[in-house]
Amino acid sequence: MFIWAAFSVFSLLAISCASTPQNDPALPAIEITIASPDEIRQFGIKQGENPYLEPTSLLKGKLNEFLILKIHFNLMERSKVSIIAQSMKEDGSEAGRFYTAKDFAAFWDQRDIYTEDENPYGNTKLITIQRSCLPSLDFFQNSGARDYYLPLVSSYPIPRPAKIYVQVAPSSGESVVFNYLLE
Amino acid sequence: MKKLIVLLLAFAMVGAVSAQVTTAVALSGGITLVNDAGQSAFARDGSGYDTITFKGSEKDGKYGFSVGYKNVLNDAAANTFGGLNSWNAWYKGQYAKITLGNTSNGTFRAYLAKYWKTAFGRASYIAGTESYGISAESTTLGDLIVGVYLPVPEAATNSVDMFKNMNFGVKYTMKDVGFAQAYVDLHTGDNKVSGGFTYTGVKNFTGYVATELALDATKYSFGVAAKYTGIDKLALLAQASDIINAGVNSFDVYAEAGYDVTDAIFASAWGKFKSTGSAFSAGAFVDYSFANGLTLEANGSYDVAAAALAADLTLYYGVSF
Repeated sequence: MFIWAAFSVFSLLAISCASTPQNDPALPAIEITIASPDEIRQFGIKQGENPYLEPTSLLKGKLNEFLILKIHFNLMERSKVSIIAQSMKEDGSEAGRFYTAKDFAAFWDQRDIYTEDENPYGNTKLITIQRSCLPSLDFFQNSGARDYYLPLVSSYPIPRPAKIYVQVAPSSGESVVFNYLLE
Repeated sequence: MKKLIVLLLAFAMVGAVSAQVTTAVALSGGITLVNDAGQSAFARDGSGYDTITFKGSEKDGKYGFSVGYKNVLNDAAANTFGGLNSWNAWYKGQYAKITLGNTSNGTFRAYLAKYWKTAFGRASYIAGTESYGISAESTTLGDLIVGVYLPVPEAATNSVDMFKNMNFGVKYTMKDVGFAQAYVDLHTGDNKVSGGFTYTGVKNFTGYVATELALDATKYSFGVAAKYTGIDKLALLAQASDIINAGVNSFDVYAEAGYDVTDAIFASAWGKFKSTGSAFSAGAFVDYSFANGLTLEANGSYDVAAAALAADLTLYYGVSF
């Protein structure tokens, strides 16, 4: 009984320490940026636990290159959100592929070093993806502050120059467009 | 071994030259360089073997395969190379993902944070006589995944009886809350019901609950875990499990505080209590990670009941080629 009580206290303390931010009317409703190294490292610094760190080979180094975009929502009201995300090489073909949560989990399922039954990190990557990766290109978002991460994945390296175009359209306001030239 | 190396290189080459497929070749295991008795052993932490895995898929992820071998680096007679660990081929169609071979119920298994630290840490894997078969998981129901698994045993079996051994699973993801998983295993001798929930609704906190009822074995397992990573580079974990096996109750509790000293060095201290024998132990370890997949780990622990001190230095490898 004491053990379960201790667990409850630990969980309540942890939850109370991490309050959910409310929306700030002074800030833009939507911001799109390239995630900083610190923002990526918040999910762990080891390859085995952080899905936003590229898979690496012992001999060849990086196998893929990621460009992680951060989409910050600061919505006043619950809204339907539609997103267009494209990456284009000079010749007009696709420079890489944007993954939302389910596809990103499938990507890692095919590349993880460990089989499911032997992974020393358990399902840490899957939990991080479900917690932080953009859920889909069309979804409902509650009011308040919330960050999502949208990975662009390519074989290493991402062909350069590449034009990155992301448009986020909430039902409650104006669309926001992010244009970036990756050189 | 030579055949393995040729196969590995050929496989890696296919992935290197073709943009139409993605491949992954990985090797994992561990070597205890020295323990407190001055002995060394080639053994992976926990499961005691190394594995090599080959995975390949078409570039859009429509179909692929996975093959895993174990004990590839162990020449001992009892562990000769060729121990097939798992293999399967899969196809993702319009409505379902179909997997054929040595498959798993991975989508529907509930986990605790560090499942190997307590007696019960996750729901069972499909194994033994039911490990070969066909599974289907839905792909078009949004946040809901339903699945069914039909074991096809290697030994000839009455086809109608196969259906009595089916597994059914369900997973539901609630955005900004977490995900729930459950499955039913009707296999004779198992008759298991499992369920779990992972809570991710608050930043830096993850809560886990998992349970499994093995009706034929009259074994009931329950576990909870909580992980908090909101204080700088500190990670706090508490995990506990309770098992009632044929009417006998036992429980254990594990707690750990870890700190990322640098990008390469992780230090951790832990304590564990097991109700069986009222055994308390505590310890610490330091990991040094280097060279894209190698980790050198120094362990030290003290078992209070046995008044025994233990230590080892182990090299773990989990590398892609």
